[in-house]
Amino acid sequence: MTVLSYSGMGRFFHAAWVGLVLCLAGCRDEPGDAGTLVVVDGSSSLYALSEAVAELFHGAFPQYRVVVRVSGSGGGLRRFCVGEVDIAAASRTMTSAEAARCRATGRDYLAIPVARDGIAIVTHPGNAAVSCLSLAELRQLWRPGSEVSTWRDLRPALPAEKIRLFGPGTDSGTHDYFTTVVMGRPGASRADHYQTEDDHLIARGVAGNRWALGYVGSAGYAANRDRLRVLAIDTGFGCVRPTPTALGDGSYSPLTRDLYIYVGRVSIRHDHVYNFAVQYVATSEVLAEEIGYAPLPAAAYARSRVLLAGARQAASTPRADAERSGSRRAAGDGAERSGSR
Amino acid sequence: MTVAELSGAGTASRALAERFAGRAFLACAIVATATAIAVVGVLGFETVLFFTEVSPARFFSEVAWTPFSEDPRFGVLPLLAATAQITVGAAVFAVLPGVMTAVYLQHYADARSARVVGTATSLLAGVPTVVYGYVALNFVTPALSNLWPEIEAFNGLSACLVVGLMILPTVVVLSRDALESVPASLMEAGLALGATRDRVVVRVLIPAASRGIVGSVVLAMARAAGETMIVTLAAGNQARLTWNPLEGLRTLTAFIAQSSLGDAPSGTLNYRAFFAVGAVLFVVTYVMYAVGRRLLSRRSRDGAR
Repeated sequence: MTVLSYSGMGRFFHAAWVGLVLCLAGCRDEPGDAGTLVVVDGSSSLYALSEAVAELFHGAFPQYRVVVRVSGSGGGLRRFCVGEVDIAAASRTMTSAEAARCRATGRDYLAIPVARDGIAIVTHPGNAAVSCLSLAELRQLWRPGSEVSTWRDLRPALPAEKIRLFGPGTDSGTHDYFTTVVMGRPGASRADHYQTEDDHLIARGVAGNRWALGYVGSAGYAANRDRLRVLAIDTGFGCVRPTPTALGDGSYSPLTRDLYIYVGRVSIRHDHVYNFAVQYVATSEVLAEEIGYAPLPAAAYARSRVLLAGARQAASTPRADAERSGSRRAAGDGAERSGSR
Repeated sequence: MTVAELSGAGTASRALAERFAGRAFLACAIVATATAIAVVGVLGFETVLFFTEVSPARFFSEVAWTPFSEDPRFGVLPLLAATAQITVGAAVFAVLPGVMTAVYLQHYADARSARVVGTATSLLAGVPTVVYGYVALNFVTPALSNLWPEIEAFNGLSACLVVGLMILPTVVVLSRDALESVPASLMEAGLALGATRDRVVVRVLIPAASRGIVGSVVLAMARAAGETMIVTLAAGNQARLTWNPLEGLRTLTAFIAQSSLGDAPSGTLNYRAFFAVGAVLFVVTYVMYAVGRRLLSRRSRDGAR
């Protein structure tokens, strides 16, 4: 009886041990190592596009797997620079501090612009009182310590209904960008509103109250188009809505920005990462508008293709390793320049 | 092999097994105790570090809680008020139906309906809180917006209602225990004096069990104060001092749940703020549990008095 119970115990430990080993092998998504797994992490503004790319990629290369995560632009770039992910999705270019950290770990990269995005100011579809706000009104509404509480506070002709505010959280690149452009300082914002990193929760909140207002990336608006109303913004040249045309020709500026993917030069040597990056560029060119972004000029995509092919060739030639480690700094600078256009 | 040998071997192995089992139980007890001590220790340590940077006076007097903004404020009052609103609100919705259900089960229901109602109540206790949260968000709030169109998509009222539903089984079961422990002689004496059954229940039995009933409500409120998932999903995350239940609010628990997901690197002030808020929550729920337990444990003596 004792023997039996011990062998039972032994079996339990054995099972636990096997489980632990299996987990160590498979629970982490180690980029490159498995040779079949592409890990993308970063901005929620690019999530819709990354998902579309992953779907098409999986159709073309069923042997590869793709994982798309949303840690925000900063979080994705941080993980990218320490080699935890193959591709970072970012709603801004790397800061010089981030680039320095990347170089310190010896990680060279390509910055590839994939689409243009706008920040959509959205309200409840039933709010017909307002259809256009000026940048000055946005600033008055969102500035730190803002006293605006009702729509009438914003504009005397509007109803004295309380404005319920929804916006991205402080981890989000959209929050940084909006505050930089509207207030002139990253992070300068009132803080008494509902904040979340999840675009769909913002949409739900705004759709749930007739006098609500919020801001999201244009893809976040596009995914919830049926329950939100997008406002036009007057930047001094008349009221403009964030349509793909307005995003593309710059008339919705300054509430537009380019979105990037960062690809590690070392990772490009792997077929799955290279093919995924190529797929990303191709998909962006064709589908960006449909998903709620504006496509970049065709020349930008052509240049990205050339850039990727060149990096691929450099990475697969035998002396690439020596050359790369020799000219690491220069290569990093070059990639940054090509990204900032 | 004789019978004596067999039983001797049996005794030896049983003694071994018992010693082994005794050690195993002791080990479990040590793990539980050590964990509790470690939790309180870490909570206290990080909270003290927090208060070296933010004075307790500011923590308890400021009315703005914006730890992640460029001008961080650490006034816990909005969070505390939100937790109070949810706790009291849930109790308001749960007490009357809960106590009346308990009275019904104890004094009026026949065996079959008691079984049906009892099963239904324990089913309520088995519903995962995430389900309650989505019920509040997707069902209760839209229903309330028919009554009050100005209600926010994330609001305190829907959370109060659903947390009330969640704590209902606690009130029912514990209040029923309290009623059960009232001596039958009181009922008999009342009836013998010519009072109707209803009158005895309302005038004699419920007052006799009142201490236990209050205890059950306090314990249920402690559960409501610590409730996280429902308020995280349904009540919103605006830390503001408001008593309007139609507006969004942020409880102590919701702040920890929502913000610890993001970037608050360990060792920073924001990271320690989680522990300070956790410590406040710990004190609040611990005091409520202690009061509730005390009321419940004295109830039999008072009932007999």
